[in-house]
Amino acid sequence: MKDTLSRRTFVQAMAVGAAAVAAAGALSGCMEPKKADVGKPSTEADAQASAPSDGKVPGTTATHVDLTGADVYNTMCHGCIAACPVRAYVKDGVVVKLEGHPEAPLSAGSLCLKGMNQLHTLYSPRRVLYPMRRTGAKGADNAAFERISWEEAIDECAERIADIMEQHGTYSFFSSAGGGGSYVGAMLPPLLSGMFMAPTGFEPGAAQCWMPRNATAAFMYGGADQSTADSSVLETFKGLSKADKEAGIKNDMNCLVIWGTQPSASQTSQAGRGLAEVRALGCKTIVVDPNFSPDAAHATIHLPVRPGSDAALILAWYRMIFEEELYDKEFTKYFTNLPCLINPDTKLPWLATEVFDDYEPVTPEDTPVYVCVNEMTGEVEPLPFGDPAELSAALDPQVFATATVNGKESKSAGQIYKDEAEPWTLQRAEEFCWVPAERIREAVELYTAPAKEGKCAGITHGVATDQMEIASQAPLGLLGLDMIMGYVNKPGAALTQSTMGGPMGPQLDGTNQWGKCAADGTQPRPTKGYLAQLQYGYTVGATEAANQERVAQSDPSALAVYGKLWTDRLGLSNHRGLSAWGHSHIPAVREAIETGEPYRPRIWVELSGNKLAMLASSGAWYKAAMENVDYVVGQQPIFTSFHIELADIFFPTEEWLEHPHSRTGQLNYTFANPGIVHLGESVNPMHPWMLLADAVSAKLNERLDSVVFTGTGQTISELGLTFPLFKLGDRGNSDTTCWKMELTGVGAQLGLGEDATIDDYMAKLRNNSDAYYVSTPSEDYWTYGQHLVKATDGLPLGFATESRKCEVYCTTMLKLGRTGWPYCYPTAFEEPVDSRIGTFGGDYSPICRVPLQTEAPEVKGADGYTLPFDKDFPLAITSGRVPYFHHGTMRHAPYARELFPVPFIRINPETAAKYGISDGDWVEVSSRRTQGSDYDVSKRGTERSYAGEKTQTTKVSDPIRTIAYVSEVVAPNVVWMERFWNPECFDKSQKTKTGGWQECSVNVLTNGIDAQFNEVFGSYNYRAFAVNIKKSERPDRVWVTPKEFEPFMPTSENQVHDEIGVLMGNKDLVTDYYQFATADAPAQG
Amino acid sequence: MDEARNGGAQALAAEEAMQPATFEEQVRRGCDLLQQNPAKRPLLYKTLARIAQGPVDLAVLEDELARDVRCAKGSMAPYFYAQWLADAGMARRLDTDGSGRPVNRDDYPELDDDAFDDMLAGFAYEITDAGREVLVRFSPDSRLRALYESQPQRVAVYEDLLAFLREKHHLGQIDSYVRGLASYQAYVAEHQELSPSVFVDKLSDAGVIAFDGGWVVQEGKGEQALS
Repeated sequence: MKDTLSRRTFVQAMAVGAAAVAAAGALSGCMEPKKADVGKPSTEADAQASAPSDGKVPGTTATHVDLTGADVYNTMCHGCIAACPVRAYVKDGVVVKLEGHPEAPLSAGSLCLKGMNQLHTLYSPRRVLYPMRRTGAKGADNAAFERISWEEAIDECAERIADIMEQHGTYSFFSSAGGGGSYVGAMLPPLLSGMFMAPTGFEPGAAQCWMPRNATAAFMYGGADQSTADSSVLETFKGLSKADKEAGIKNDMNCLVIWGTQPSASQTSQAGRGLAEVRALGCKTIVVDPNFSPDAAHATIHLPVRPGSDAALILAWYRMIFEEELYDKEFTKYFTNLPCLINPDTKLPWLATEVFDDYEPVTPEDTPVYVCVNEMTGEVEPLPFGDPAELSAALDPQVFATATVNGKESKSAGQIYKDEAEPWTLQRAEEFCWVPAERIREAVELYTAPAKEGKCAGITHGVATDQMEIASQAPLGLLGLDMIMGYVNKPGAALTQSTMGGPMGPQLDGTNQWGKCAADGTQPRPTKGYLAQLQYGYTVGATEAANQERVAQSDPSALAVYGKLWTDRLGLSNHRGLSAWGHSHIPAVREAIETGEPYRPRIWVELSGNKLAMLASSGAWYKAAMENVDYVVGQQPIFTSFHIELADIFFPTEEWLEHPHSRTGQLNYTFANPGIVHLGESVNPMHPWMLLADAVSAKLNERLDSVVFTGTGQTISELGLTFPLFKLGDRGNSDTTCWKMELTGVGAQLGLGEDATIDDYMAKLRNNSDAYYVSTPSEDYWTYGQHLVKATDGLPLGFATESRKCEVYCTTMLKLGRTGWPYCYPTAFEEPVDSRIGTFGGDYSPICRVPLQTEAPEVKGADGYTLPFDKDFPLAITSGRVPYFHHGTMRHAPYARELFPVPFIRINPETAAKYGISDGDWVEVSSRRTQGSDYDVSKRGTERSYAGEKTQTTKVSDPIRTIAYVSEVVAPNVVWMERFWNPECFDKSQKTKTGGWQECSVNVLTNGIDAQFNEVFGSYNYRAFAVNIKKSERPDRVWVTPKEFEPFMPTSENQVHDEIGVLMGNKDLVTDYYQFATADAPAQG
Repeated sequence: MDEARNGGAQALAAEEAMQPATFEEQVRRGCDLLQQNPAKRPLLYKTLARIAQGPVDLAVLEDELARDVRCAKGSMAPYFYAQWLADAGMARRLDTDGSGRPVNRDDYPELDDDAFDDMLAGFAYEITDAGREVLVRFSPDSRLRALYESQPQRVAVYEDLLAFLREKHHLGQIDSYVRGLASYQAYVAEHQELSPSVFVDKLSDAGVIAFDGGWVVQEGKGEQALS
C-alpha cells in the first residue's frame, strides 16, 4: 500500500463501491436514484479516477481492486445490531473489501451503507491505537494527551479510582456505556458499579431505548417484546432463508403494523431487505410514523401520527375493536385477565378466596384463581385458569362487566379499559393525532381482518415511543392489542415465544434454545425470573417459599448491601421500572453530580460512545461533568468529543473486524465471526473493565478499614465484605472465551477438535464461504402454541405471569410502583412512588392512557383535552435514523459524511414558506433549553403534573443549526431531524477547536431536565418536544463539502495532531493478535 | 454549498495576539480553568497562591508541590500546574538567569540571541492581575462563606465537623461521629436525611479540608469558621 493515500488512490485501492451503488442496492424500492445518476462521479477529478463500467452492474462505477492473492473470510458485520453476515477480503494483512454473504438468511448477500463504510472506520486516521493519558486541562481547547503503556494505564487508573473511593465513599463511582450495538453492552454499567458497591450506572438508551418495551412485555406475558430491531419479532422473516425453503417452510405474515420504527433505515440490509421481500409475497403493512419513511412509502396504509400522540391513537384502535367486537373472544376471555373483576381499592384483581369464604382453589398455589361475571349465569364466579375447552362448558367470562363484590362496585379490567378508550372516537383521534379518521378505520380493519379467517397479523413496535413521555403507555397498549386479537404464539403473529430460551425469556425447562416445547406433561408451569446479582429479585410464577429458598443461598451481608444499592439508586424511587436493567435515572444522576446530593458521583468510567452527543440536554451534562467529576475514564476506537473534552485516561478498543465473536448469528444461522486483523495495542472492548475490576478491587482490599460503604456509613471491613461484591465471570466476552466460542461453534462444525488453536481455525475459514451452520433446524425454530401445551400440573402452560395469562391489565405495573416488586426483593421500597408521579390515581398505570405532554404544538379540536402550547416554540420536532450511521458511530467515515455531511431538518413546504425558508438554507433550531435570540427569559415553563408551574430561565446551550430539506415527508408544523450528531471537527484545518457536539446535534435541544419523564421508566424526551426555527447561516466549525472530509480518509501514515499531541497512525497494519499480559490471553498456535 | 474554511490554530493565535483578551475575559478563563478541573483545583489554587507570594523559580515550585501528597499521588508533573495557569493568563512565565533573577530580552539589546540564551538558566512564574482576582474568588474562605450562606441550616454541622477534623480521620470515623452529633440529628429531624459524606464532600470542594491518609482541616483554612 502506498504511504500516502490520496482520495483517488484510495478509491482505486480499497474497492469500496460507489456509494450510489450501495444506495441503489440496499434501499431497493426506496428513494430510488435515477439509473443515469448511479455511479456518476461527483467531480471531474473523480471522473478521471473512475474506471469505466465493466458492464456487470449497469450504470455503476466498476471497483478497481486486484484481488489476486486475497483471502476471504466469513464474518459478521457489527456496524449495527443487525449483524449481517459478510465476506471480508484480506490482502497482505489488510482488509480490502467487504461484501454481504449470499447465504445469509435475512440479508441474503446485501450490505448497507454502514457496512460498506466499515473499512473507513477500521482504518480511520482517527483511530487511537495506544492508551493515552491527558496532559492538558479539560476542554477541547486545551486537549493534549501522551501515550503510556497498558500496565501504567491500568495501574494509574485503578489507583486514582481507589483513592477517590477511599476519600468519598463507594457511591462516588459510576459507569456508563452505549446502547444497541455497543460492544460492551447496555447491562454492564450497573453491574460494574455494583461490583464496587456503587449504585450508579446507565446508558443513554435503556429507558430511552428498548427497555420500556422489553420490560413491559415481560410483565404482560413473560415473553419477548415487539421489536424487530432487537430481534424479538422474527416471524416476519419466516420462509425467506435457504434452510427454510429447503424445509418447505412458507411465510405466514398477512399484515404487519410497523409502529414507530423504520427498518429500511435502521437495518437496511436485514429487516429492510427482508420486509421488501415479505411485501412482495403479499404481506400488507401499516406504518405509523410522523415521517414518510421508505417503509411508509411502500406501506398499504400510512398513519402520520403527530409526535407524542401515539397513546391516543392506540386508544382509538381499542375503542373501535371493542365496539365492533373485532377481538378474539376466546383468547381474551380465557388467556387474558380482562374478565377479572378489579377491587376498586387495591386496583388488583379480586381473588376468589377474598370473595368466597369457603372457596378451595382448584389450581396450584402458584396459579391464583380470580373472579369474573359468568355470562351464562350473570353471577360473580371464580375464574380458574385452565383449558378453554374444559372451562367453557360452564364458564363464559364476561370481558366488559360491572358487579358488586364484597359490597364494592367492581369493574372488570376489560370494562376499565373500555371506559378509558371511550372518549377516543376516530374523529377525536383525527383532531388530536392529525391522522384522518377514515384512514384510522382502514388501518384497524386491515389489522383485524386476518382474525376473521383464523389467521394472524402483528405489531412490530420500535424505539420512537421509548424516547417520549409515553414510554410505558405505548407498549402497554400495543402489546395489549395483539393480545386481545389473539395474535399470540401463532403463525404470522409478532408475539411468538420463539426467543423464550434467550436471556429475556421465561424459564421453560425441557425446551430447546428457541422454546420449542416438549410433549404434554413434561414441563412445569412457566416462570419468569426478575433476578439481578446475588439472587436478588423475584421469580414470578414460583411460590413465595421457593423464592425465599433461592434468596437464602446468598450471603446475607452482601445481599443487604446489594439491596441498599437498589433502593439508593438515583431516580429509582420515582421510576422503578429502571430496575429492569438496574439503571439509574439519567437526569437524577446529573442533578446529583451538580448538587452533590444525595451523594456526588465523582469517578466516571465510560465504556462506549460519545455521551456529549447522546445524552439529552447535553449542555447541562457538559457543565455538570466539567465542574464536578474528578476523574473520567474512556474507551473507544477513536477519540470522540467526549474524550477530547473530558477524559483523563483513554483505552483504545478494537473495531469489529479485529474482535472475535462480537455477534452470534442471524435467525437460526451461526456464521463464523473471527478477529481478522489487528491494529496497534487496541483490545477487546470488554478487556479494560475486566482488568480494572481486578485492579481496583485489589487496591480497595488493601484499605477495607477506611473505605466506606456510603449506603450505611460502615467501612467494608465492618460489613465483613471484600471487593468485588460479586463476580461477573467472563460474561462470554473476553478474548479467550470469544475465541473458544468460535472454536467450539463454527470450528467444531468444520471438524476441529478440542485442542484446536486459533491458527487452525483461521486456516479452516480461509477461502471457505461455507463457514457457517444452521444452528437449529427450521422446523424446530419456528414454534407455536407453547401456551397450550400441558404442564406437569395438567393445566395449559399458559404464560410466565402471576395469573398465567396475558395481563393486558398489567398488575405488575401497580405492584412495581408500590414496592419495587418484582425487582426489589427481598428488600423493598418502604413507600410507594410519589403519588404526583403515578398517573393512575397515584399508581403507575396498568393500561394505556394519554398522559400530559410537556411540550406540544397547537392542537385545535374538540373539548376534553388541553395541551401546553407555547407560541415561542410552536413546532413539534421528532427524530429518527438515517441509513448512513448507527447511533453515534461512523461520523468519521468520509464517504458516509459526503452523502450526509450535516443533519438535515425535514420541513413541510407550507411551514417552510411561513418561515421564509427554502430547501438547502441553513436554519437555526431552538428549544426552551437553548432559548434563541428572541426568547423572553421571563417566560414561564410548562406545568408538570407533580411540580406545578416553573419558570424556565436557565439556558443550557446555544441553538443548533442545520440545513433545511423541504419536503412533504412530514406534516405542517412537524419537523424531523436525524437523531444524534457529533461531527468530530477538532483538526488543524479548523479555525477554532471544538468538541464538535454542540453545533448541529438535536440532542442539545432535547429535554432531559424538566420533562414529564415517563412515570415508570423515567424516559425523557429525545422526541416530541417543541422548537422554533429561523433562517440562519452556516456555523463556523462544521464541515460540509467533500473536500473538507479529506482528513478522515484512511491512511497508513502516522499522524501527529499537534493541538492534542496525539500520536495516531496505522503504521502497524499487520500485527500478530495482541498478546495481552493477563491470564486471559488467547491461545495461539 | 459554501467553500471550505481554511483557518488554523496558527491563524487564530495570530488573530488573538492582535486583540488581547480583556481583564474580564482573562478572569473568566482563569475561573473556567479552576472550575472545570475539579480534581486538580486544590493544587492549581495552591500553586497560584504560592506564585502570588512573588516570582517563584520553577525548580522551587516543583519541589514544594512534589512534597504535597496530592501531587505525589496524582499523575501530573508539578510543572503542568504552573504552566496551565500561565496558559490561562493567571501567571506569567519568566526567563531567569543563573541566580534566579528574571531577565527580559528587551533589557539586553546589545546581546545577540545566542548570547542571551546563554544567560538563561531556568524559568520562574509570577502572578498576573487576573490571577490575583481568581485567587480571591476561589479562596477557601470565600467558598466556605458561600457554602454557609447557601445552606445556613447546616452550618452547625459543618462547624462541629471542622472541629473534629482538626485531627485526621477517615470517612468511616467521620460518618460515626457525625451521626452522633446533636446538630446533625436536629438537621435530619427538621429537614432531610443526608449522608454524612455529603458534608465532607462540600467542605472538600470548598478547599477547607484535604485528604492525606484521612481528612483534615487545611492549615490556615477555615480557621475563621472555627474561631
